[in-house]
Formats: sequence, structure tokens, C-alpha cells
Amino acid sequence: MKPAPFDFIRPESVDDIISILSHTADAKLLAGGQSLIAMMNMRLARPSALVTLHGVPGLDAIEEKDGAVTVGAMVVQERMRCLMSRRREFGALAEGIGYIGHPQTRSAGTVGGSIVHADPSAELPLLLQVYRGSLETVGPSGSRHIAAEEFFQFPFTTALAPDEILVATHWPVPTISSGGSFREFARRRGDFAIVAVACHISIEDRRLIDGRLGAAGVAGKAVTVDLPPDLRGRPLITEEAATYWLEMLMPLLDPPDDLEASSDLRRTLVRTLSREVIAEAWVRAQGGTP
Amino acid sequence: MTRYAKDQRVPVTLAVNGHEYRRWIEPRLLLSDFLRDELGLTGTHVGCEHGVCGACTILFNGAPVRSCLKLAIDVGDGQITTIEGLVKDDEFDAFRQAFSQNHALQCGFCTPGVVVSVWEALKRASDSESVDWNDVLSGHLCRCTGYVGIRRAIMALQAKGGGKTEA
Repeated sequence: MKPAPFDFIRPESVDDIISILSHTADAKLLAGGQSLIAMMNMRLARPSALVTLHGVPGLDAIEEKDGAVTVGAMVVQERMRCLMSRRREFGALAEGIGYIGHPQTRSAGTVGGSIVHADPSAELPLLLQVYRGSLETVGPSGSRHIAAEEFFQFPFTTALAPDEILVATHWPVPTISSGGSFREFARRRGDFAIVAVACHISIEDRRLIDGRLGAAGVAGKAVTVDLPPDLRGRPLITEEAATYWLEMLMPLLDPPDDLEASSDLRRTLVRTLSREVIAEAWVRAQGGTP
Repeated sequence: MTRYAKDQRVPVTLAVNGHEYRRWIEPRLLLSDFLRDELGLTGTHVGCEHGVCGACTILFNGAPVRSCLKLAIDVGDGQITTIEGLVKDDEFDAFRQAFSQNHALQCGFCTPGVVVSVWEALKRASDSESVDWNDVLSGHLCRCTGYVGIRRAIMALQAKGGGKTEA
């Protein structure tokens, strides 16, 4: 279980990386390596050249301005989890990141790496969509801003061009009266999610004004649905309202049927976990912490 | 920008357990193999080699990471601590005793990784940070103890050190 031989390239800037990607066929960018090196060890991936992002300046900052938190692509997951665990309005975020692998992999695995890997069952691509985030990429013709919904396309496939690099993700800060919740079902802790579900709710004067519900592991990419307009202004999320909301998510599902779980089980899990996250996000938005 | 060919031997200097080691390596050499084969530090075990079992866990700049998912060439000036580095610490005797007395190991294959992770988490716990021990131990596969002994050892160490969380 050793990786096949590869050329190793140490760039000094983002411009270096773009020039390498434009001229080297089959070059792969190495971030935290928690998926890529594992795949290379198993020889599922055999890139001819590996370009390390360690030491490239400008990729590991976290800053907040203009109502959004910008997270550099090389920020490690555990750092983001610790930071977000103090932000109640991002309720689902720290909780969701806590489901990624183990502390021993989150300390090396990066936010950007997980997002461009675009595993359909992964937590961060789901969270970025639930929080209506966006991505900043840089390529030969300059930088692009891409909404999360347009970025993720199919399993392991994104809108990133072969000569582009993800430099940061943007997470719009929800209003202070917001709550979120994340639940995941897996056979073993830290394993790939069979189903993961996240919900974000904002309230104003004790009335629902906004929200988004999403699920991962149930289609080629994470699927989300906004709070239905007829639930807006309601003072309470009832069992019926939660069911009404989650049933809007169900038609978007195309759950796989495999050895881990049948598609029926995955559908059942989405229904069960959605009810739980909606209820919990609602309580948290009101300032409670169940 | 520097480019190394796949069969080229590249000089690297790694800081391991407070010493600097200079070696010539191929780009594809994993950090776990560097520690074991180049430095003879065989306390770091190699199990699954894809980041699941946790036997190869080391401290990288103080945080537990999988050495089988790191390339030795990509370590840079990061500070590496292996189980051999912890053994030199004065507090390690208490650690060894707690693991031994509570049956926190049997075959010993997972033990170096477990010790490294628990060591780091106990440091955090004593800084009154809350530690989720399920989360910490989920990163290690132990087939002998059922984790019960490991948890008892953690509790014994916490009782001694005054850590704030419950195992």
C-alpha cells in the first residue's frame, strides 16, 4: 500500500499553480491528503505529478467581512470546527464538521480539499449549500465567484475547470436569531455517511422568516430545499409543518441502493433525521440548546 | 517553484522528537515509512495505510495526524513527535502504568497510536477544554480491549492529573 511514483512540485504562489495545471497533464493538487493520499496508497489514483499546496501563501486565512466568513481553502477542518463552535448562528456547521472522519484526520484534512473532492455523502459540500455559500476560484483568466448550488454537479465532479484552483469558500453570516442542526447516520463513527441531513432556520419576532433543509448521501450531490413560503411568518414549527417541508425535499432524492443501505432505508432516514434537525434548529433559533 | 522527478532522491530535513534528521528520499515516501525505515523509529506502527486504523498516529505541530497519509517530502518545518518522543517525557511513567494496570492494551499493535491521541487529548482536557472521548477513540481500531480498558486508563490518568472531562 504505497503510492505509485509521481513527480513532486512545490509551487510558490497561486500563479505558479495555475501555470502548472495549464501545462502538466494529470497533475493533482495535494491539500490535506486525507482522501487523495489514501486513494493513491490503494492505487485508485495515480497522478503523474503532485502539486503541494503547503507553503503557498494566502490560502489558510479565516476572515469576516461584508457579512460573510471567508475560509481559505487550506484551513484545516478542526480549526474551522473550533471557530464555528462559538458561533450560535452557524448552529449546524461545527456540529456537521464534527462528523467528518476523526479528530486525527480533521487536524490535517482541509475545508477546500473536502469541497473540491465533492463526495456526494460528504458533510462540507452539504453545509456550504445549506448556508447558501459560494466559492472563489482562480484560473488563467482571473477569478470566479461560483454559488455552491452551481459548483457541485455529479459525484466527485464540480464546476472547477482543469486549470483552476479553489482559493476560498464564503459563508454568509445568518441573522443572530438563527439556529441550525446536523444529523448523520453511519454504521461506524467517522465512516462515510449513509445519510446526512442539515437544517438552518432564521426567526424574527419569534416568527419563521427563512430556512434551508438539505441532505447528502441520497443523490449525485447534496440536495436542498428552502423554507416553503407558506410556512413563513408562522410562530411555531409543528409536526405537520416539518413534514410538509421535508416532503418537498423527497422528490429531489435519488438514493443509491447498495450493500451499505437500500434506497428505501435512505429515504426513511431522510424523513426521520429531517424531522429531528428541523425541530432542533427551531429550538436553537429561539435561543434554546437542547 | 521546484520540481522533483519521480525517481529523484530529494534531500529533506525533518524535525522529529526534537532532533533534526537529514535524509535523501523519493517523493513518494510516506512519513510513516520514513519514520520506520529511514530513522528506525518503529514505535509508529503501520496498519491499514489508508487512514482508518490509527496505528500510525503521530503528533504534527502538537496535533494528532495519520503519518500514513502524509508524504515525508511535504512535511516542511513541521515538528513531529512520535511515541519514542513521549517516552522521554517524565509524565510517561504514569501513563504506562495506567495503561498496564487497566488492561488498556493486549497485543499492543494499536497502542502507540492510541497513546499519542490520548496524550494530546489529556493535555487539552487539563487546559479545561471539553474533550469528546468517543470522538478521540473513534480514530483508533483496537480489537483486544473493547476500549473498556482504555477508558479506565484515561479515567485513572484524569483522576491523577485533574482533567475536567469524564471518559
